[in-house]
Amino acid sequence: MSIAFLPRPGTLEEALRLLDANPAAQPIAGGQFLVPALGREARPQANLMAIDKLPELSGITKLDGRLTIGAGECHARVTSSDVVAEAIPALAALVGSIGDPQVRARGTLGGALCSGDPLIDYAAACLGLGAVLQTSRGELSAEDFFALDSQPRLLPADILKSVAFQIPNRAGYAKLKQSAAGYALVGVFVSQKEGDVRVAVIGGWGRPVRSPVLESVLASRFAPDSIVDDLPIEEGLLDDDLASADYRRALVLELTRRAVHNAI
Amino acid sequence: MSETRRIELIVNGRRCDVPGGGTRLVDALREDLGLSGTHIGCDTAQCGACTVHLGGAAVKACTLLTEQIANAHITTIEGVGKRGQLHPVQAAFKQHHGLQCGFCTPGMVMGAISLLEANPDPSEAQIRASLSGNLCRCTGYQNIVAAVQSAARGVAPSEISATSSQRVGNSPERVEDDRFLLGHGNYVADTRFQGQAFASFVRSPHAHADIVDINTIAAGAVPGVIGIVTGHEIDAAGFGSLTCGWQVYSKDGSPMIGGARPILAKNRVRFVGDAIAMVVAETLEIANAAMSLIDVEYQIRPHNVRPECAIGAQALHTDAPENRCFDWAFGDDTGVRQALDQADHVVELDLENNRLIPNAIEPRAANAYYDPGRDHFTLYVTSQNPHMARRVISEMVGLAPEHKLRVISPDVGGGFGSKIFIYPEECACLFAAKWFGVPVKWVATRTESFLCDAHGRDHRTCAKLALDAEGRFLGLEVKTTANLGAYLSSFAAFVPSYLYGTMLAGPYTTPAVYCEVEAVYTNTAPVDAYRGAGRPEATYLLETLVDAAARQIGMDPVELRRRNLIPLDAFPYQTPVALEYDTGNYQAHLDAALAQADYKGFDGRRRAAREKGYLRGIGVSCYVEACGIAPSAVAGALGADVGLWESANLRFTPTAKLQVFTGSHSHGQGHETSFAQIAGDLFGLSFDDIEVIHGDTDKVPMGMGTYGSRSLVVGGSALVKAGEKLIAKGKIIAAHLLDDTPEDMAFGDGLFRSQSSNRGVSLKEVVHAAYVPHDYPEDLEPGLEASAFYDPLNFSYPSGTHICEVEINPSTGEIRIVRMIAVDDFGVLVHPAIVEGQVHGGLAQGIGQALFEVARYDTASGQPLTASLKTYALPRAADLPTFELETTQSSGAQNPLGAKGCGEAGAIAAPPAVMNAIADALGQPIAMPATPEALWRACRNSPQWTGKDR
Repeated sequence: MSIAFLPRPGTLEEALRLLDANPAAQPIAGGQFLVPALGREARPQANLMAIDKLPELSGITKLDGRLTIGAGECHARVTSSDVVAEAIPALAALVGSIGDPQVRARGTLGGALCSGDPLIDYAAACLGLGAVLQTSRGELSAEDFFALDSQPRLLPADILKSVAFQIPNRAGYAKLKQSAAGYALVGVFVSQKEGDVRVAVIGGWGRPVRSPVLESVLASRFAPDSIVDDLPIEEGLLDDDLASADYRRALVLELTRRAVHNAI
Repeated sequence: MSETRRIELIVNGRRCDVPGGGTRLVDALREDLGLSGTHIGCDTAQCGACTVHLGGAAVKACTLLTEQIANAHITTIEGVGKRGQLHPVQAAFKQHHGLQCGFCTPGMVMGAISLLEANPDPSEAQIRASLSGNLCRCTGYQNIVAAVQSAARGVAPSEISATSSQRVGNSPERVEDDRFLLGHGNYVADTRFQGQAFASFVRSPHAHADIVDINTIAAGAVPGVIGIVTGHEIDAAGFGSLTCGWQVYSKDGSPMIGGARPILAKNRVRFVGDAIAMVVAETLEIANAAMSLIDVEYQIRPHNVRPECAIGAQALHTDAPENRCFDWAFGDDTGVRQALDQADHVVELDLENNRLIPNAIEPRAANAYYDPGRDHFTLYVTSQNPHMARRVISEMVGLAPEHKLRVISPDVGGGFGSKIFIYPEECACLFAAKWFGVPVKWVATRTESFLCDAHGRDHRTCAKLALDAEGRFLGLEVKTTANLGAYLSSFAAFVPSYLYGTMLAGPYTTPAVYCEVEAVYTNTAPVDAYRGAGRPEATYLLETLVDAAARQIGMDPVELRRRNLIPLDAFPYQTPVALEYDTGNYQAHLDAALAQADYKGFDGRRRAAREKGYLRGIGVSCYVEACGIAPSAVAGALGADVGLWESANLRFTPTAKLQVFTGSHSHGQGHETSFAQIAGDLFGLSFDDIEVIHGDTDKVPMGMGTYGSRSLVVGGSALVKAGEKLIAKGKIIAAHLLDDTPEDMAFGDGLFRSQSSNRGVSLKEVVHAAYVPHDYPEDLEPGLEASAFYDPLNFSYPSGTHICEVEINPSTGEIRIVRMIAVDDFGVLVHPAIVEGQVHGGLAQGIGQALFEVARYDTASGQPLTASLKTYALPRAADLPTFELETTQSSGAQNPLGAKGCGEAGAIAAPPAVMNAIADALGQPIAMPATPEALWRACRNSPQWTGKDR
């Protein structure tokens, strides 16, 4: 087995220097995706750098209509944070529904976003709350981040520092879990801020997306029964072993209703 | 690789030094610090058996590398209680019987403590949700939830009563629980010999292929590799194959064919996961790394994974050219044909009994040691029947003569059938232990469990039920194709034949039954007995067929059952399919279950649900099963070269402590408690003076193990017989001490008493005299020890009625089990709480089959599609309701204890109850598992739900 750690950096600057000097190195935060994946390989190889304690990656703050969460904050802290609960209760609830208590104790916002997994609940929240990802190299909108097909979504030697979520007037999340893995099969996040309605879906299409059709319907009337069964939502729904396209379509519609219901 | 960095951790308050690099916390705890209470049950971070506390929060130790957490405070299960005293949460688990096999228990306790620290007063829903990261396969979570609720109410350990009577019929705290709760269980994975070597297996990635070449040169050159074994070495040494010990004959009289399983495949692989080579190395990491360097060249063959396509597909075994192992027929062909001709109604049903993977949370494991000085082998193995493992390994494979092989099955973390069988891996470990002269340990990964543990069920059946105008059953015809998988596993032939066909009368008076079973080979993992084995398949068929008949003829399904149940005055009742039911009162448990379910009030509940937009249904299932396996004469008549007795040996030590040796094996069933209750009652002793010993062929003289709900019925009866012998011997000694005759002696409450003189002598004095026979008469033999074998006269026949009520959301197909009621007749209960736990676990697995579980293979590639806990769904705490249990009791069964067996009831009766409830809600049946998508689709086509109601 060949897994080695770089010396633990004390600051973000130090971490970036280490990454520059070791281009193959991979940052690891809570390790909830990475460690099990390494454990399944016959000959795991990795050059890791622990970034979960970097001070620049911590903190939960509310400022100017935005809620900013450090990429290193674990799910347990986010879901129990009074600041989050007060600013965006739907986000606190969403984070409290991730995985199980053990995963929430270690898994982080940054780790989830950088895992490349299309079914992370945070993806729905980022797209549904017009989030801006702050990395060591600059800023990136959630739309741009999740529009990329390639993995990793960050450039080499870049580290996600924090995510700033727009605080909406109201927001709600609803999902149906896969019975085996516990991930979302389909999840829908809705938010409304003044005239701006956002509907973000995970597990509907190949990657986390917003649905303009659902957004325009809800923009005209933000109510569960605005979503009718024969609403012509976007084509190209996933059709795989886990669920057929027409079932996913039904779930997107019903979970949108529930998310709106939760938001109201 | 450079020298591995050392990492400091504070574990249970003590500063420790563990390896860094890629070392996972769970491995550091288990291997470097010897804290084996933290268990490993999966390889996808899903089972939670490795849960520990990191800075007070529950985390999965398999998801952490030590380098990430240098200097952190870790608490493991060993550090929770103070100096061996139970923590209040541990005490609550013990009091509420929140554990069975103990394997998931440490992780479960760590999760519960962490929950209660964060939320001291959680609701039941919060408890169930918070346990979503911990899988238990034994308890159905019910008593775990009860334990957490009790601990939340802050019941101090001193207030917790440990004083429940230990006498038979009471539920004292279990003897084995302290060691499981404190992390002191000793499972095979925890064993470690001096100079321990580790094994891993190269497995076929193809469903069906010829092996052209196996190149092990590169792997053999890896430093730390001790050696590599392939089928060539095993064949050259002259060792045999594994196969089924039961002989089933086809209807033309020919014996079953094909299916022999080599220890390691040499020329051909027949399913994905078939073992080809074994690497033995100084560490598991080295074995795994070397394994990936073994180059196997394959010539792909056409494969088939579907039982319905097996006949005529490319043959798996040259001695079974059509892939047919047997074509078995049973029952009254003519009578059934006449019934079908004369019937007023004929109801037909096609169904599939879905393939399941047992998934005990402890993966299979073996650790083999060879002592060249004595030419003697020791094998630690996760077995439900170590004596049978010894015999098969000796007689069938020939690795060692029986007296030179000791098989030890220590604490075993659940079995459910999957650990009855003798598998290639333990044989290979034994072979390698002698070949290389090192102790060889193998522990399955969860992936290997999915690939290679014997699967269960997998039937395709067409059935016809003939009824008269009043709804009386006239005859039943059943035609089943049973998938055996790629090889014949130890019991495999017996399960879809005699354990299935003989149960097709069920609790009904059907006068004629005819059954044909075609058992076939496919390129899938071998299929064998899984909880219920044949009986769940028969019950699912019967009970869904009865409901189909009720729908077809327009009669209430309960009324239809009532018209056909065997009446109380018909017992003993000879069925048309060989069995004679000794006792039973089927109306009693049906009535009790209907009353408990408020069956009459259901229509109101259906309407109320409908107004909320839900479809609600209620389903009934009645069952009878044959337990207490089995009268040896029956086993002989059915072609098995075994007797299915059980043995017990009772030995008093000179200080009047009692050792109880039983051939039954406990892997969660709590025998150390229930057998101690029986022995305690016999001799007036408390648990403090009794030790129940099982699972070691060098300690327990003989045994046939635990399966088919046989432990108490057969093993417990052997114990009673041995006790009677011991008391008779004690009377002779007491009579000598009192200068009286043995015939005049009575024994009770620990005292031998002369009935004529009323003088007495204590058991303690008698035991002392037995071992200090200073003034014995010549004809009195010293010592106080007795053995007995018990061979049952008949099977035992537990029966019951289960009722399920469900509510389905037609928009998403989400389903909620609103109520699950089980009323069972298990005869005399020795430890009612253990019985309840068995029912809870059976119901959870039955609901698992109905709603969640199915093992699937891709038709085109032959690859398993459900080879991890991410794709094969096991029920979690939040998926299950609180079960409502009751027992009724008809007159006792024909064994000294009057016990009938309870371990399989839930897995037998729950699937049809759930599926009948779903069919009732939808107005039509659907197949198992009823996943949300399947339910959603069925709702769209349901006569009960047109969508107009929205």
